[in-house]
Amino acid sequence: MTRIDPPIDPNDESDEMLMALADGELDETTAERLWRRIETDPALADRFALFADTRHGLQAAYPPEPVPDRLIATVMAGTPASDPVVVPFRRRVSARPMAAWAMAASLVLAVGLGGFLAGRATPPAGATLQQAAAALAQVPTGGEAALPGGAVARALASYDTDLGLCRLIEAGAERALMCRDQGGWSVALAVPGAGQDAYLPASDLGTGLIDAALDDLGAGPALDPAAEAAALSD
Amino acid sequence: MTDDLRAQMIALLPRLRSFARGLSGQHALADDLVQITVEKALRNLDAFVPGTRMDSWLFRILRNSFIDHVRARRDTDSLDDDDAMPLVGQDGREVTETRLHLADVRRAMNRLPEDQRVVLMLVCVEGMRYREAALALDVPLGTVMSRLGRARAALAQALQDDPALLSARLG
Repeated sequence: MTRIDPPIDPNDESDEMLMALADGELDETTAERLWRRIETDPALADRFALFADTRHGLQAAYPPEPVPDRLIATVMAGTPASDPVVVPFRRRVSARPMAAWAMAASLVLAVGLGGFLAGRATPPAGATLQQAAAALAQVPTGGEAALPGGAVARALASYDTDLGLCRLIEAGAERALMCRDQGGWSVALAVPGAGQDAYLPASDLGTGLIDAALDDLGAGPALDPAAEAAALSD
Repeated sequence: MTDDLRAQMIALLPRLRSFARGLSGQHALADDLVQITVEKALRNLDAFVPGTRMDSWLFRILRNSFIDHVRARRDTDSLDDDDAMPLVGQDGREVTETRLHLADVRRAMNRLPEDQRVVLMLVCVEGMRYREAALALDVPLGTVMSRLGRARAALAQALQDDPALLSARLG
Protein backbone atom coordinates (compact mmCIF):
# COMPACT_ATOMS: atom_id res chain seq x y z
CA MET A 1 0.00 0.00 0.00
CA THR A 2 2.09 2.92 1.11
CA ARG A 3 5.72 2.69 0.34
CA ILE A 4 8.54 3.28 2.70
CA ASP A 5 9.80 6.80 2.34
CA PRO A 6 13.20 7.06 0.72
CA PRO A 7 15.87 8.61 2.94
CA ILE A 8 15.65 12.38 2.76
CA ASP A 9 18.42 14.09 0.92
CA PRO A 10 19.21 17.25 2.89
CA ASN A 11 20.05 19.09 -0.32
CA ASP A 12 16.94 18.02 -2.15
CA GLU A 13 15.17 21.04 -3.61
CA SER A 14 12.73 19.14 -5.76
CA ASP A 15 9.10 20.13 -6.17
CA GLU A 16 8.14 17.16 -4.04
CA MET A 17 10.24 18.52 -1.20
CA LEU A 18 8.87 22.03 -1.55
CA MET A 19 5.32 20.70 -1.61
CA ALA A 20 5.99 18.51 1.40
CA LEU A 21 7.29 21.56 3.23
CA ALA A 22 4.19 23.58 2.36
CA ASP A 23 2.00 20.71 3.56
CA GLY A 24 3.85 20.25 6.83
CA GLU A 25 5.15 16.81 5.94
CA LEU A 26 8.83 17.38 6.65
CA ASP A 27 10.50 16.74 9.96
CA GLU A 28 11.60 19.79 11.87
CA THR A 29 15.28 19.64 10.99
CA THR A 30 14.72 19.15 7.29
CA ALA A 31 12.05 21.82 7.21
CA GLU A 32 14.28 24.27 9.04
CA ARG A 33 17.12 23.70 6.61
CA LEU A 34 14.89 24.11 3.57
CA TRP A 35 13.33 27.27 5.00
CA ARG A 36 16.76 28.82 5.38
CA ARG A 37 17.59 28.12 1.75
CA ILE A 38 14.24 29.50 0.60
CA GLU A 39 14.88 32.69 2.51
CA THR A 40 18.12 33.28 0.67
CA ASP A 41 17.16 32.01 -2.78
CA PRO A 42 14.42 34.00 -4.61
CA ALA A 43 14.04 31.42 -7.36
CA LEU A 44 13.50 28.70 -4.81
CA ALA A 45 11.11 30.96 -2.93
CA ASP A 46 9.06 31.46 -6.09
CA ARG A 47 8.79 27.74 -6.65
CA PHE A 48 7.85 27.21 -3.04
CA ALA A 49 5.22 29.96 -3.24
CA LEU A 50 3.20 27.94 -5.72
CA PHE A 51 2.66 25.23 -3.14
CA ALA A 52 2.18 27.50 -0.17
CA ASP A 53 -0.13 29.89 -2.03
CA THR A 54 -2.38 27.17 -3.36
CA ARG A 55 -2.67 25.69 0.11
CA HIS A 56 -3.47 29.04 1.73
CA GLY A 57 -5.80 30.01 -1.10
CA LEU A 58 -7.74 26.79 -0.72
CA GLN A 59 -7.95 27.14 3.03
CA ALA A 60 -9.35 30.64 2.60
CA ALA A 61 -11.73 29.54 -0.16
CA TYR A 62 -13.14 26.69 1.92
CA PRO A 63 -13.20 27.91 5.51
CA PRO A 64 -14.25 25.39 8.14
CA GLU A 65 -17.95 25.44 8.78
CA PRO A 66 -20.00 23.76 11.42
CA VAL A 67 -21.37 20.45 10.24
CA PRO A 68 -25.10 20.89 9.53
CA ASP A 69 -27.39 19.72 12.30
CA ARG A 70 -29.20 17.30 10.04
CA LEU A 71 -26.04 15.30 9.38
CA ILE A 72 -25.27 14.94 13.07
CA ALA A 73 -28.92 14.17 13.67
CA THR A 74 -28.82 11.37 11.12
CA VAL A 75 -25.92 9.71 12.87
CA MET A 76 -27.39 10.23 16.32
CA ALA A 77 -30.77 8.90 15.30
CA GLY A 78 -29.12 5.75 14.01
CA THR A 79 -31.72 5.52 11.28
CA PRO A 80 -32.11 7.55 8.13
CA ALA A 81 -33.46 10.99 8.86
CA SER A 82 -35.70 10.73 5.84
CA ASP A 83 -37.84 8.28 7.77
CA PRO A 84 -40.73 10.14 9.32
CA VAL A 85 -40.16 10.78 12.98
CA VAL A 86 -43.42 9.84 14.61
CA VAL A 87 -43.00 11.62 17.88
CA PRO A 88 -45.61 14.15 18.87
CA PHE A 89 -43.56 17.29 19.10
CA ARG A 90 -44.96 19.62 21.67
CA ARG A 91 -42.11 22.03 21.46
CA ARG A 92 -42.30 25.38 19.81
CA VAL A 93 -39.43 24.65 17.52
CA SER A 94 -41.16 21.86 15.64
CA ALA A 95 -39.89 23.49 12.47
CA ARG A 96 -36.51 22.08 13.46
CA PRO A 97 -37.47 18.67 14.74
CA MET A 98 -33.88 17.53 14.77
CA ALA A 99 -32.53 20.41 16.80
CA ALA A 100 -32.60 18.48 20.02
CA TRP A 101 -30.77 15.55 18.52
CA ALA A 102 -28.22 17.90 17.15
CA MET A 103 -27.93 19.46 20.56
CA ALA A 104 -27.50 16.05 22.05
CA ALA A 105 -24.82 15.33 19.51
CA SER A 106 -22.90 18.47 20.26
CA LEU A 107 -23.35 17.76 23.92
CA VAL A 108 -21.89 14.33 23.53
CA LEU A 109 -18.93 15.87 21.75
CA ALA A 110 -18.68 18.73 24.19
CA VAL A 111 -18.36 16.52 27.20
CA GLY A 112 -15.65 14.45 25.61
CA LEU A 113 -17.92 11.53 24.99
CA GLY A 114 -18.48 11.16 28.68
CA GLY A 115 -21.54 9.12 29.16
CA PHE A 116 -24.59 8.73 31.23
CA LEU A 117 -24.76 5.38 32.84
CA ALA A 118 -27.37 4.40 35.34
CA GLY A 119 -25.95 3.21 38.61
CA ARG A 120 -22.76 5.20 38.39
CA ALA A 121 -24.03 8.18 40.30
CA THR A 122 -21.69 9.80 42.74
CA PRO A 123 -23.43 12.83 44.14
CA PRO A 124 -21.15 15.83 44.39
CA ALA A 125 -19.79 15.76 47.89
CA GLY A 126 -21.24 18.43 50.10
CA ALA A 127 -23.18 20.23 47.40
CA THR A 128 -26.60 19.83 45.93
CA LEU A 129 -27.56 20.31 42.33
CA GLN A 130 -29.39 23.46 43.37
CA GLN A 131 -26.19 24.83 44.85
CA ALA A 132 -24.34 23.90 41.68
CA ALA A 133 -26.90 25.69 39.51
CA ALA A 134 -26.73 28.72 41.77
CA ALA A 135 -22.93 28.74 41.61
CA LEU A 136 -23.23 28.72 37.82
CA ALA A 137 -25.95 31.35 37.72
CA GLN A 138 -23.73 33.91 35.98
CA VAL A 139 -21.35 31.47 34.31
CA PRO A 140 -21.74 31.07 30.54
CA THR A 141 -21.87 27.73 28.78
CA GLY A 142 -18.52 26.00 28.92
CA GLY A 143 -17.59 27.74 32.16
CA GLU A 144 -16.96 26.17 35.56
CA ALA A 145 -17.59 26.98 39.17
CA ALA A 146 -16.07 25.40 42.27
CA LEU A 147 -18.43 23.70 44.70
CA PRO A 148 -18.09 23.20 48.41
CA GLY A 149 -16.31 19.90 48.96
CA GLY A 150 -13.98 20.33 46.03
CA ALA A 151 -16.26 19.24 43.20
CA VAL A 152 -16.57 21.30 40.04
CA ALA A 153 -19.77 22.34 38.35
CA ARG A 154 -19.88 23.02 34.64
CA ALA A 155 -22.46 24.78 32.50
CA LEU A 156 -23.14 22.70 29.38
CA ALA A 157 -26.00 24.55 27.69
CA SER A 158 -28.89 26.92 28.27
CA TYR A 159 -32.38 26.72 26.83
CA ASP A 160 -35.44 28.83 26.62
CA THR A 161 -38.30 26.55 27.64
CA ASP A 162 -41.95 26.61 28.63
CA LEU A 163 -40.71 26.87 32.22
CA GLY A 164 -38.39 29.75 31.43
CA LEU A 165 -34.63 29.47 31.46
CA CYS A 166 -33.30 25.94 31.94
CA ARG A 167 -29.68 24.88 31.97
CA LEU A 168 -27.93 21.63 31.44
CA ILE A 169 -25.18 21.38 34.02
CA GLU A 170 -22.65 18.88 35.20
CA ALA A 171 -21.90 18.69 38.90
CA GLY A 172 -19.49 16.10 40.13
CA ALA A 173 -20.51 12.95 38.33
CA GLU A 174 -24.07 14.01 37.74
CA ARG A 175 -25.71 15.85 34.88
CA ALA A 176 -28.89 17.71 35.43
CA LEU A 177 -31.39 19.88 33.70
CA MET A 178 -32.05 22.76 36.06
CA CYS A 179 -34.83 25.27 35.57
CA ARG A 180 -34.95 28.70 37.15
CA ASP A 181 -37.92 29.51 39.31
CA GLN A 182 -38.68 32.19 41.83
CA GLY A 183 -36.91 30.42 44.65
CA GLY A 184 -33.76 29.70 42.66
CA TRP A 185 -33.15 26.56 40.62
CA SER A 186 -35.11 23.34 40.62
CA VAL A 187 -34.18 19.96 39.20
CA ALA A 188 -36.12 19.03 36.07
CA LEU A 189 -34.03 15.94 35.42
CA ALA A 190 -30.88 14.44 36.86
CA VAL A 191 -28.93 11.63 35.26
CA PRO A 192 -25.90 9.94 36.68
CA GLY A 193 -22.81 10.66 34.61
CA ALA A 194 -19.45 9.11 34.07
CA GLY A 195 -17.52 11.44 36.29
CA GLN A 196 -14.03 12.65 35.75
CA ASP A 197 -12.21 9.45 36.32
CA ALA A 198 -14.16 7.36 33.88
CA TYR A 199 -14.58 7.68 30.17
CA LEU A 200 -17.60 5.73 29.18
CA PRO A 201 -19.24 5.73 25.79
CA ALA A 202 -22.25 7.97 25.58
CA SER A 203 -25.29 5.82 25.96
CA ASP A 204 -28.61 6.20 24.22
CA LEU A 205 -30.25 6.18 27.59
CA GLY A 206 -28.81 9.37 29.03
CA THR A 207 -28.88 11.26 25.77
CA GLY A 208 -32.41 10.12 25.11
CA LEU A 209 -33.56 11.08 28.60
CA ILE A 210 -32.22 14.58 28.34
CA ASP A 211 -33.56 14.92 24.84
CA ALA A 212 -36.99 13.75 25.90
CA ALA A 213 -36.99 16.12 28.86
CA LEU A 214 -36.08 19.03 26.63
CA ASP A 215 -38.90 18.05 24.30
CA ASP A 216 -41.34 17.97 27.16
CA LEU A 217 -40.20 21.38 28.32
CA GLY A 218 -40.68 22.82 24.86
CA ALA A 219 -37.03 23.75 24.67
CA GLY A 220 -35.66 25.48 21.62
CA PRO A 221 -32.12 25.10 20.37
CA ALA A 222 -29.34 25.87 22.85
CA LEU A 223 -29.08 29.61 23.38
CA ASP A 224 -26.20 31.37 21.69
CA PRO A 225 -23.78 33.25 23.95
CA ALA A 226 -25.54 36.62 23.57
CA ALA A 227 -29.01 35.23 24.24
CA GLU A 228 -27.66 33.24 27.16
CA ALA A 229 -26.00 36.28 28.70
CA ALA A 230 -29.24 38.22 28.39
CA ALA A 231 -31.25 35.38 29.95
CA LEU A 232 -28.79 34.94 32.82
CA SER A 233 -28.81 38.60 33.68
CA ASP A 234 -32.61 38.76 33.82
CA MET B 1 -25.17 0.71 16.31
CA THR B 2 -22.65 1.08 19.02
CA ASP B 3 -21.93 4.49 20.44
CA ASP B 4 -18.29 4.15 19.56
CA LEU B 5 -19.07 3.77 15.87
CA ARG B 6 -21.50 6.63 16.11
CA ALA B 7 -18.89 8.87 17.72
CA GLN B 8 -16.35 7.89 15.07
CA MET B 9 -18.84 8.70 12.36
CA ILE B 10 -19.62 12.11 13.80
CA ALA B 11 -15.93 12.85 14.11
CA LEU B 12 -15.49 12.00 10.43
CA LEU B 13 -18.29 14.24 9.17
CA PRO B 14 -16.01 17.21 8.39
CA ARG B 15 -13.74 14.99 6.31
CA LEU B 16 -16.68 13.39 4.57
CA ARG B 17 -17.93 16.85 3.65
CA SER B 18 -14.54 17.84 2.29
CA PHE B 19 -14.35 14.62 0.32
CA ALA B 20 -17.87 15.21 -1.01
CA ARG B 21 -17.09 18.80 -1.93
CA GLY B 22 -14.02 17.58 -3.74
CA LEU B 23 -16.02 15.00 -5.66
CA SER B 24 -19.06 17.04 -6.49
CA GLY B 25 -17.55 20.49 -6.62
CA GLN B 26 -20.78 21.81 -5.18
CA HIS B 27 -21.67 22.73 -1.68
CA ALA B 28 -25.32 21.78 -1.43
CA LEU B 29 -24.80 18.61 -3.37
CA ALA B 30 -21.92 17.69 -1.11
CA ASP B 31 -24.08 17.73 1.99
CA ASP B 32 -26.73 15.65 0.26
CA LEU B 33 -24.02 13.16 -0.62
CA VAL B 34 -22.84 13.00 2.98
CA GLN B 35 -26.42 12.52 4.10
CA ILE B 36 -26.94 9.66 1.66
CA THR B 37 -23.62 8.15 2.71
CA VAL B 38 -24.37 8.23 6.40
CA GLU B 39 -27.81 6.73 5.82
CA LYS B 40 -26.35 3.93 3.70
CA ALA B 41 -23.60 3.31 6.24
CA LEU B 42 -26.11 3.06 9.06
CA ARG B 43 -28.24 0.62 7.11
CA ASN B 44 -25.23 -1.52 6.26
CA LEU B 45 -23.33 -1.29 9.48
CA ASP B 46 -22.85 -5.05 9.47
CA ALA B 47 -20.62 -4.63 6.44
CA PHE B 48 -18.15 -2.55 8.42
CA VAL B 49 -15.28 -4.65 9.71
CA PRO B 50 -14.31 -3.46 13.18
CA GLY B 51 -10.68 -2.51 13.37
CA THR B 52 -10.52 -1.35 9.77
CA ARG B 53 -10.52 2.28 8.76
CA MET B 54 -13.94 3.77 8.97
CA ASP B 55 -12.94 6.76 6.84
CA SER B 56 -11.97 4.52 3.94
CA TRP B 57 -15.22 2.63 4.27
CA LEU B 58 -17.31 5.79 4.33
CA PHE B 59 -15.33 7.35 1.47
CA ARG B 60 -16.03 4.25 -0.60
CA ILE B 61 -19.73 4.48 0.12
CA LEU B 62 -19.68 8.17 -0.68
CA ARG B 63 -17.84 7.66 -3.92
CA ASN B 64 -20.29 4.98 -5.02
CA SER B 65 -23.22 7.19 -4.09
CA PHE B 66 -21.70 9.97 -6.11
CA ILE B 67 -21.38 7.73 -9.12
CA ASP B 68 -24.92 6.40 -8.69
CA HIS B 69 -26.71 9.63 -8.02
CA VAL B 70 -24.73 12.35 -9.58
CA ARG B 71 -22.14 11.50 -12.10
CA ALA B 72 -24.61 9.91 -14.48
CA ARG B 73 -26.19 13.30 -14.86
CA ARG B 74 -23.27 15.37 -15.88
CA ASP B 75 -20.14 15.33 -17.92
CA THR B 76 -16.99 14.70 -16.07
CA ASP B 77 -13.44 14.47 -17.05
CA SER B 78 -11.29 11.84 -15.56
CA LEU B 79 -7.76 12.43 -16.60
CA ASP B 80 -5.52 10.58 -14.32
CA ASP B 81 -2.13 9.38 -15.27
CA ASP B 82 -0.54 8.84 -11.94
CA ASP B 83 2.85 7.95 -13.31
CA ALA B 84 3.52 11.25 -14.96
CA MET B 85 4.29 13.92 -12.44
CA PRO B 86 4.71 17.23 -14.16
CA LEU B 87 5.02 19.36 -11.10
CA VAL B 88 5.36 22.99 -11.95
CA GLY B 89 8.94 24.08 -12.16
CA GLN B 90 10.57 27.44 -12.48
CA ASP B 91 7.72 28.94 -14.46
CA GLY B 92 5.54 28.85 -11.41
CA ARG B 93 6.70 32.35 -10.61
CA GLU B 94 4.05 34.34 -12.44
CA VAL B 95 1.33 32.04 -11.33
CA THR B 96 2.09 32.40 -7.69
CA GLU B 97 2.12 36.15 -7.93
CA THR B 98 -1.55 35.83 -8.70
CA ARG B 99 -3.72 36.90 -5.89
CA LEU B 100 -5.92 33.99 -5.20
CA HIS B 101 -9.42 35.33 -5.11
CA LEU B 102 -11.62 33.01 -3.19
CA ALA B 103 -14.45 32.67 -5.67
CA ASP B 104 -11.89 32.27 -8.41
CA VAL B 105 -10.22 29.52 -6.49
CA ARG B 106 -13.50 27.67 -6.13
CA ARG B 107 -14.28 28.14 -9.81
CA ALA B 108 -10.87 26.86 -10.76
CA MET B 109 -11.28 23.93 -8.39
CA ASN B 110 -14.51 22.97 -10.10
CA ARG B 111 -12.68 22.56 -13.37
CA LEU B 112 -10.17 20.09 -11.99
CA PRO B 113 -10.67 16.37 -12.36
CA GLU B 114 -12.40 15.01 -9.30
CA ASP B 115 -9.50 12.89 -8.09
CA GLN B 116 -7.36 16.02 -7.96
CA ARG B 117 -10.07 18.02 -6.21
CA VAL B 118 -10.41 15.30 -3.62
CA VAL B 119 -6.75 15.24 -2.62
CA LEU B 120 -6.64 19.03 -2.47
CA MET B 121 -9.68 19.10 -0.23
CA LEU B 122 -8.37 16.40 2.08
CA VAL B 123 -4.78 17.58 2.35
CA CYS B 124 -4.87 21.36 1.87
CA VAL B 125 -8.30 22.14 3.29
CA GLU B 126 -8.90 19.35 5.78
CA GLY B 127 -5.25 19.15 6.80
CA MET B 128 -4.84 15.40 6.40
CA ARG B 129 -1.30 14.06 6.23
CA TYR B 130 -0.26 12.44 2.95
CA ARG B 131 -0.17 9.08 4.65
CA GLU B 132 -3.65 9.48 6.10
CA ALA B 133 -5.03 10.55 2.75
CA ALA B 134 -3.38 7.59 1.07
CA LEU B 135 -4.91 5.19 3.57
CA ALA B 136 -8.30 6.83 3.41
CA LEU B 137 -8.38 6.90 -0.38
CA ASP B 138 -6.80 3.48 -0.66
CA VAL B 139 -4.09 4.63 -3.05
CA PRO B 140 -0.29 4.65 -2.70
CA LEU B 141 1.38 7.58 -1.01
CA GLY B 142 3.13 8.47 -4.26
CA THR B 143 -0.22 8.75 -5.99
CA VAL B 144 -1.46 11.21 -3.40
CA MET B 145 1.66 13.31 -3.93
CA SER B 146 1.57 13.22 -7.70
CA ARG B 147 -2.11 14.12 -7.75
CA LEU B 148 -1.48 16.94 -5.31
CA GLY B 149 1.35 18.31 -7.40
CA ARG B 150 -0.62 18.14 -10.63
CA ALA B 151 -3.70 19.58 -9.00
CA ARG B 152 -1.81 22.58 -7.68
CA ALA B 153 -0.14 23.22 -10.99
CA ALA B 154 -3.49 23.01 -12.76
CA LEU B 155 -5.15 25.22 -10.18
CA ALA B 156 -2.48 27.90 -10.46
CA GLN B 157 -2.57 27.63 -14.24
CA ALA B 158 -6.34 27.99 -14.34
CA LEU B 159 -6.15 31.10 -12.21
CA GLN B 160 -3.54 32.50 -14.53
CA ASP B 161 -5.23 31.62 -17.82
CA ASP B 162 -8.81 32.54 -17.20
CA PRO B 163 -9.45 35.99 -18.77
CA ALA B 164 -12.33 36.62 -16.39
CA LEU B 165 -10.12 35.79 -13.48
CA LEU B 166 -7.38 37.92 -14.91
CA SER B 167 -9.59 40.99 -15.14
CA ALA B 168 -10.85 40.32 -11.66
CA ARG B 169 -7.28 40.28 -10.56
CA LEU B 170 -6.42 43.52 -12.22
CA GLY B 171 -9.64 45.21 -11.19
